[in-house]
Amino acid sequence: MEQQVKKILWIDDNVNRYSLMPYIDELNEKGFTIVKAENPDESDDILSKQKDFLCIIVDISMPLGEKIPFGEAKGGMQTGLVILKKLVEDKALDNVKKIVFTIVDNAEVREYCNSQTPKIRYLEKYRYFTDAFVDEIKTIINDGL
Amino acid sequence: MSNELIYTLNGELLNASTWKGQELFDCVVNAIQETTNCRMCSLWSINYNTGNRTISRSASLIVRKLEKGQIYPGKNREDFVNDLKDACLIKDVLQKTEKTRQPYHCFDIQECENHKSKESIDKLGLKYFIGIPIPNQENKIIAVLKLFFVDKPAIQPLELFATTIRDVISSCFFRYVLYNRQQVMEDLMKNYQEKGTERNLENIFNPILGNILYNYCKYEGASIFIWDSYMNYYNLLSTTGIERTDDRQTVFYLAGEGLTGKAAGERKRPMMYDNLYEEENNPDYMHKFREITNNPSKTMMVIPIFRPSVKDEVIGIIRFVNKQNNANREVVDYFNDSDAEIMSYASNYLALTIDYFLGEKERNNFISKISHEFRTPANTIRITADRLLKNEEDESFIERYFNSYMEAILYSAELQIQQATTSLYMSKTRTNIPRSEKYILSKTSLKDILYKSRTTVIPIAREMRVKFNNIIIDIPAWHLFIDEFAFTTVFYNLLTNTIKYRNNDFDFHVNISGYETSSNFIINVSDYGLGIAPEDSSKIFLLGFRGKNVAKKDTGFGIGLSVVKQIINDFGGEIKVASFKSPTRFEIKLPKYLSDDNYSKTEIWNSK
Repeated sequence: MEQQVKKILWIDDNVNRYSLMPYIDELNEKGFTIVKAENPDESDDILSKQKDFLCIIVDISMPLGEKIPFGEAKGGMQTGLVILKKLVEDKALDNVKKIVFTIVDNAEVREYCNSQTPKIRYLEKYRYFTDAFVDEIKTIINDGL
Repeated sequence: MSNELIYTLNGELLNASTWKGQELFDCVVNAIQETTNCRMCSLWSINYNTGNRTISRSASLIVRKLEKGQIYPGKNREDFVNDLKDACLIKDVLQKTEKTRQPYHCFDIQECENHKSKESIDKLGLKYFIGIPIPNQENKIIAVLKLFFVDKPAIQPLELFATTIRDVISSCFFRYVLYNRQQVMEDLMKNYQEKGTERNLENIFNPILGNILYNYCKYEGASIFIWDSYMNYYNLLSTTGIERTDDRQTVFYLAGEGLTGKAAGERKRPMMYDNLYEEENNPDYMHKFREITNNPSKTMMVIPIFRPSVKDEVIGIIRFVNKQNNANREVVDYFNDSDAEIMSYASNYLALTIDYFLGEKERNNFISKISHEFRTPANTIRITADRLLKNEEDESFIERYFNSYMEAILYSAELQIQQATTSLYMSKTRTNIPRSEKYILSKTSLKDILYKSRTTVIPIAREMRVKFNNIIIDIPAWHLFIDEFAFTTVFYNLLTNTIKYRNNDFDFHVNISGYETSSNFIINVSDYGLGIAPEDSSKIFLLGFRGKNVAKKDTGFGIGLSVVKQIINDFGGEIKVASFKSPTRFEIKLPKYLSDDNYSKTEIWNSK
């Protein structure tokens, strides 16, 4: 029987850089396949073709790409929030867990995450070693909140 | 006649209970009507700062009086103002008196070529017209007095009358400016004495918009926005009332965006708009946020508030909507130079208050930004080292990951050092200490600094998969007395930007070249990156500002270029964007006197 691929979409401009490399290595070792999007354009493109992700991890401060207005994303400081709102509105992604994973403390984004049903988890990068992060992701995927 | 006029004028002016402009001008017009057979007398200020406006529309009514008992038979109040603006004959007066400064006579108004409201004039039975240009101290015409007569003007000699009136009104304008300046400052100081102890900027500014400034320029709505260096926009501080047309929780204005942002961005001067709905004004989404007004928003004036401590830095914007006609406050009028002058004057005081109170907020913003910047490399080092330690006995793990993880640690440590250095200079350059205490001078090869800067960006170049060897350094062997670390920070930030904001459609290539002029060393840093939008050129050095085009491709906090500019300015140099795209070129100009250390003994280098 063919084993189901455990796919995670990770939207973060650092997804191909050193700062996320250990997390991704750890997830890969635990059997997850990471689909990487460095900006909103790439994530749009990926989501137009596939939606079978176990979860989508989103950063907050990110490049705007070509479609997100400068003002709406506050010059890139809240690009992730704009993406997150689109993901939440996409009915086809209702069963896909959304997770914010960011270095930034942003009260507005946190408030938005807490206002959703079910709540969207807001994880701060500096609080998680790689193994603890993978455990957290597994918990969210398996149990929700 | 002239004696009678002078006595009457003196009497009227002595009786004026205050030196407020309106009252002074009322006195003059009263005196004219008492001593002449003038049926309608009006005084108009001329507005030269109005872009494409026609001269007649750029005039603003200061005072207008009909002979006792006469009522203007207009359709409604707004038509009344607009009719008179169009019919004001000011263009004729300005054209005919440009050289002579003598009064302009017209003995049959209907024949005046710029007269557009014949019907209104007919209804009043006006036939004769005299226009007197009013110059200021620089002999620039700032106002026109218009006198309309039914019968032939009984004024002899007319030239003496006109000269007397001209000088009196000119003097009144001068008094008006001085009085308003003094009075507005007294009002603002009084407000500060009452509200300043509350230590709340909003509480200080609410009465300023609600009452104080209104005494000097009647408006229907006003708001103040202040620069938020953390979020990269001008945020609402205080308003007489603002309405949002969507569900946004915040009102924000990006530097240079929309009509409001233009005054702070590319223009950096007061802006006045006749009609917000005109196509050329192109109201964008920012104008969803409008002041609550009884009349639809039509006329607007935007005043930039300049930071007293940093040249050309706009820390705030005051916006006024719908000027009210002095006579009938429900009529929407045009803002004029006089309004801009007094509000710009008042803005100097507002700037001091904002700068003082923002100091603490900006420090917090800066700490927040730096904290976020520092967290990323620190966290990278932490998690990478943690994973290495947890798997140190796993040979296959070490074989697979050791090199890349050590490179990540090295890169992150280097990044953190550069960030710390940048923030150190950021802090130093914004502190009021002598330059001699900020910098350590030594005779340094600029070429060596550039090579060193290039070395510091190797890790970021590797991470972004660009060839750092494509950073070509080709400058003469200049030896300057400068701070080596400060200038390494300058070039580290410029080179990092060329890597971060490279254009993937072209091969990464940076050229650093230099040449001398008689008084300067010129260094050019050029690349074929994403480029800079021309409208952003004056803002990219603003702390916290990020250009639209670069925000599409990479993130950042808008700190680097601000530090670069400050350091270069501290050494008497300049940096500017010499070419916006293909290639983008930063030009750095350093003064020749940096060749020896004599400048370090000067007062400017050693004083605060």
